[in-house]
Amino acid sequence: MPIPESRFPVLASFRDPSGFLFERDGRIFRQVNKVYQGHFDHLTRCGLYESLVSAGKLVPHTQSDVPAADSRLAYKVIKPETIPFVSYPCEWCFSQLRQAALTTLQIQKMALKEGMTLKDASACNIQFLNAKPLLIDTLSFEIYRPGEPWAAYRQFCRHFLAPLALMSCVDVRLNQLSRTYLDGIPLDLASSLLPLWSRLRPALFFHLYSHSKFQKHYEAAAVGQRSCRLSRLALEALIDNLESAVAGMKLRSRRSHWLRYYSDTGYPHCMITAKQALVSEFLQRYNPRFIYDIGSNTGVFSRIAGRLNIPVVSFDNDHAVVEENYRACCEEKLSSVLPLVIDVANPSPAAGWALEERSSFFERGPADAVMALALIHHLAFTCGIPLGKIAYLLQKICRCALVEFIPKSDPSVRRLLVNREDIFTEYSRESFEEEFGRYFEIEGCRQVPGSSRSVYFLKRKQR
Amino acid sequence: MKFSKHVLLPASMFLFFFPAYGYAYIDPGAGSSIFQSVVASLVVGFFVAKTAWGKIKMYLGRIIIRKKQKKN
Repeated sequence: MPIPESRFPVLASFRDPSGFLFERDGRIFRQVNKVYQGHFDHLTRCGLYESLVSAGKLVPHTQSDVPAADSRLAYKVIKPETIPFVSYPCEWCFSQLRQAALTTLQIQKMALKEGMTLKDASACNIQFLNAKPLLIDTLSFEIYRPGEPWAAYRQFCRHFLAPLALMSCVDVRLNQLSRTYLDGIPLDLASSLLPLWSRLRPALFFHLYSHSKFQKHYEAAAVGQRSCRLSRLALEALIDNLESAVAGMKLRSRRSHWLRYYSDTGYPHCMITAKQALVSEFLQRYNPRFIYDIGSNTGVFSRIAGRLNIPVVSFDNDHAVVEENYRACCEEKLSSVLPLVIDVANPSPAAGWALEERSSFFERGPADAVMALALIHHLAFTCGIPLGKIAYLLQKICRCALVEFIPKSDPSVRRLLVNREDIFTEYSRESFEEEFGRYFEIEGCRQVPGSSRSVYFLKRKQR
Repeated sequence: MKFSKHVLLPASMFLFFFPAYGYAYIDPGAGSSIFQSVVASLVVGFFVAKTAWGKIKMYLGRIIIRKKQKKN
């Protein structure tokens, strides 16, 4: 009986004939195919695998005795270390994308030294493990043939250089183009969106503008690889040039009122301290294994869990605050916090072939706990989402939650309603308790000192 | 004539039918392949100079450190 096609491979790993990911008994394995045998053995023999794993740039794996998903093709099966939470490039802040790009180039440089090269440079091959970017596709390497150009050059420019240039020179929100273009932003599109002055930057002029023109010119041409010889020294020079270009990209300072949320909204210091104590109490009481901090702002409360080594996906829809969150986590060396740019009202959907290449944000969960501090009123008034729908979502994605309710009398809510008619008649403390009470046991309610806000300790009812 | 007929022609046909392609599953793109040869040729000079300068700086640095150690 043939194995149903949807059983394997997992996600987008079906594209590479060298091997693919598959799931067995709830665990992810990677099948290495016979066609890749020579390259795989060289990777381990030449010491490149050991060097990359020691440097924290490649996900380690162990040999496995699990039967292969397709034994006709299989050479061996390996078990890569599990990535706790898979994220995609459209969810990364500028610094995360830049760090991922630099890691890819550093891996290519190390590979060349050992006579190998990366055959692809997709941003989706990079994941954040312990807050550091590393390559998760062990089968990305192939034996370097002297004189051959870098096959992944165009992919690198589309996946990394184009979005970084757009975020740096135009608007940081253009990273969302990566959500639509799974194989990277087309170079002609990036070129048309970039301002004229960006052509004065040699790296962008060559690797984006001129590259795009060359591509268009030779689109239909059948040009063999032997027509484009590239010495190893020239290839190293190209990689070095790309590295300088990426390292030199900077984010223009973008004014975001969310960065000064706690100061501009008149938050007294005692309120922040009190909420920090409530978060610590929540963590101690429920001992969560994995947390979503929704609308985390600069991650002040996420880092309380991070210091206790509890894995946290700390997300907000504003790039500036996620950028600040990432900077603070790197400075504090918090390995369990992953800041991401995600709008909970419109999170990343499933994408790709049969909508199976990339899973949606909530498919990658569920979390064990959710923190939703200073969030509900924004969802209700700015996004127009009824309290019942918010409660329904939270009970789907977590076992327990710490949720802050902010009444209409609070200055934050009054600010949201100052220029509009108050049509939110259902928004009240009683409605909040009724709607959330459908799905959760309200195990505690504490008033935040110095305000009329309340923080609720919620535990999902037995289903 | 015999050389070109018996050696050169078969050799060139061999190269034509068995090109040294890498085992890349992604399309590198004809334009991209040619373009990187162009860009690489432009930057290789800077790269060589940068690498050489780095080695000179390292060498001079070692000399300065040794001199300081001798003085101390």
